[in-house]
Amino acid sequence: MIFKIASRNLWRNKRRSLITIASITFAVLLACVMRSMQLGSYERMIENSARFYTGYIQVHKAGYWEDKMLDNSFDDDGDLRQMINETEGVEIAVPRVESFALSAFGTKTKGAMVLGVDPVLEDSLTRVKSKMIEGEYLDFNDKSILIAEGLAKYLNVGIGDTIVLLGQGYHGSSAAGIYPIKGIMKFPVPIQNNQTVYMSLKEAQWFFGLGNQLSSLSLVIDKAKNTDRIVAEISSKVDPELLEVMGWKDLMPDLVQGIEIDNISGKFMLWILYAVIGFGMFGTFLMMTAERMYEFGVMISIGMKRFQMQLIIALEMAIMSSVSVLAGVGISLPILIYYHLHPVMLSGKSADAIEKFGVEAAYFFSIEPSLFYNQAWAIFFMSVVLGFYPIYFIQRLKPVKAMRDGK
Amino acid sequence: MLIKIAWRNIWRNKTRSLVVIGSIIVGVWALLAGTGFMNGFMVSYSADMIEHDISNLQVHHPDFKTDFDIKYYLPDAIEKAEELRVWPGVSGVTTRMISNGMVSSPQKAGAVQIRGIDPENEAIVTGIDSMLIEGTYFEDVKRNPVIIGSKMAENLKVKLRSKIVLTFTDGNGDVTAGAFRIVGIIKSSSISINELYAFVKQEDITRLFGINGEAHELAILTEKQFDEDLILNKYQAEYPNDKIESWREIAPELEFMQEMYANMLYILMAIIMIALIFGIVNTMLMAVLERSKELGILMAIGLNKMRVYFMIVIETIFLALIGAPIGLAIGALNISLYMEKGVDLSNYSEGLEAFGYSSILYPYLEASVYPIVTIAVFITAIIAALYPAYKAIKLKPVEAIHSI
Repeated sequence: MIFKIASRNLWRNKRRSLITIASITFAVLLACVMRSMQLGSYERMIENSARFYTGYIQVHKAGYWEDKMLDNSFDDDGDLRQMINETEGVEIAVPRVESFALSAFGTKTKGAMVLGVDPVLEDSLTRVKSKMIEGEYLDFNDKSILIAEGLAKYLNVGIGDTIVLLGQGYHGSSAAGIYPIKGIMKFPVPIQNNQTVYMSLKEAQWFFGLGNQLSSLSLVIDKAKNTDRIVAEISSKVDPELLEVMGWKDLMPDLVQGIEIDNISGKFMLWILYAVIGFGMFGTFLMMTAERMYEFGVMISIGMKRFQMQLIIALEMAIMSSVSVLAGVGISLPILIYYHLHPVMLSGKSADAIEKFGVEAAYFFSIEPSLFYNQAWAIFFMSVVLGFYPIYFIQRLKPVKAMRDGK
Repeated sequence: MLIKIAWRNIWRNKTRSLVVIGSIIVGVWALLAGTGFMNGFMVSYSADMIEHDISNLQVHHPDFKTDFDIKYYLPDAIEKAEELRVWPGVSGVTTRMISNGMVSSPQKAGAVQIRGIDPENEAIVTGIDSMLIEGTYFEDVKRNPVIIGSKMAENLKVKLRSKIVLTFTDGNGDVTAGAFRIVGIIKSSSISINELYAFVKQEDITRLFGINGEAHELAILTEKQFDEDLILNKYQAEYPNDKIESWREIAPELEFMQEMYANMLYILMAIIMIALIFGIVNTMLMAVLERSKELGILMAIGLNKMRVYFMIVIETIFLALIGAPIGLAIGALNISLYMEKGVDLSNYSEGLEAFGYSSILYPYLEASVYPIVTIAVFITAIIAALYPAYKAIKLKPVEAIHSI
């Protein structure tokens, strides 16, 4: 019976019900859009760094991450790479040798990060080929090097010049060599642009006296969320005394933390939005209650129990809230999916300032399912809390006065 | 007359008016608090960088920054620094010798920026003495003391009093090295300070550099809120051969971050405004439809549609006029309270500081934001009134009077 009355009440005054529903639907929509944008930018940051630099997972000799020195290198035997490549979800494993050396040309010297890479595999991870601004890319047995633009400028060298690299090799041996420059690359990140040298993996292994050893294997995997599973799977197959397997969260603690910090400000903005939305919803509820004062007065004076009346209202609110929350998610989903696939590009001066740093100036949207649950629940909960107002109102209602005032 | 009616209408139904006024108050507050908080994030990060690392202004030989060649020193640097110290708005000036090179310990080697500093003035300008976590500020060790960041110490696996070797190209173009003993270890929120810089005494490094110059860099810290361009222009006019730059040119990434934040902020503000519009539209719409009988009578006795329309809009303007100043007052109070005290975020993120932020956030708002926000909300309220007012004039007087 109560359900029947409640649903009839809703139908009786469609306009009022629709306004209420619209206010909640809109709240869900706005909260979803805001959160989606925030989470979208974080997903992008992770993807940019993992996909184009570290890889989602890295395998090193145990202890390498704590102490990144050449002595902590591991043997690149075929079995290990085969095992990793066969693990479900792994797309490629990219080998690297990484160490520091002094680069010199003429009277100029500068510290440089020397990266020994497999030219083809490296390109499939970091797209390093697309960073070339001059000259040619490396091939597998290359004895020449690629050098970052900032470093080239500092040393005042160009294509065809030969630079000296001087450093410390495996087990304290000294590493020295002269290398012709084959190409110049430009990186958006200043620190990378000012100190990177690329050479072929074979040459780097020879230069540092590493034999057949690697500093790291970076893995590209199909989905970021499979990271933990793949890390566990590979870890279970290798000797933990010899090798360490790390996911992107451990590889990029700075990024994870940066996101966490940004998330604080994100959440703060979300709370501000809730405050504004909540007030809008409260206004709607308040008006709805005031408008129905007369009706409540009549119902109670003809003998309906306050408790029953409250139940009816609670039911009305519950129906409206559920409908609107569903509608809100239903509307935001297609919009956000569209914008997830077609990020909103920025233009103008601020876009230039952003792009200088190699970051795409665009708004990205996330469609992580939990975002929708969370916002839907948050708004639903808010409407339930605010719904206590009409219930409280009925409790305090004086039928005669209500009928007179409400008329 | 219309204004009088509108004013009376507002007070006839107090609940309804208070709801709209309330939304406007919350709206203004939300915009102020949101902007202040986001600004606080940005400003505190920039302020940290400026006060502890790059300073407001730096002066170099025009060719020095291109390749950090130590030949390009700043002529008469110490004399200029003395002169600058008495300029209005300047709170500290220090001189530095700078060279990029390599640092090595028995275990490891890495990149380093060797900074030959004047300890007394450096402490005034960047306050590195306050960042010491171990050791002393150039005391105890007599020969070649060096202070390095905690991260560098960790990377090199060295401790207090360990010896490290700094390698660099000297004034003749020869690779030279010098052994230094660690006298102090500092820790800061800046990544450069923690990982890249090695601070040594100017006189020690000048000897090794083998050049006649006194310094490569003048770092100038200005008084808070002082317009650094005044000093920049004055200096440039006096010494046209030197290159003076403000922090905006020195650390373009700060501007980049500000742009990123600003962009995000605009969008968030737009979303909040939309939410505000919707709240007001809903309430006003209900208010209009609830008053259909009254509006019907007004129209029946001859108030034309234009007037009814404006009456509703004027009502909303009144509501905004009442709400906006209150919201402004609450927002301003809120911001100024926390501007002093700061918001402690250490509960939300453990490692805030490790990333270059201090864990106490000071919201910050420029004075110009207040009128902008007020006007924005005011316009929002008027826009929100248009649809309900339109609905009102669509009422048919007879039907409206007949309905309850």
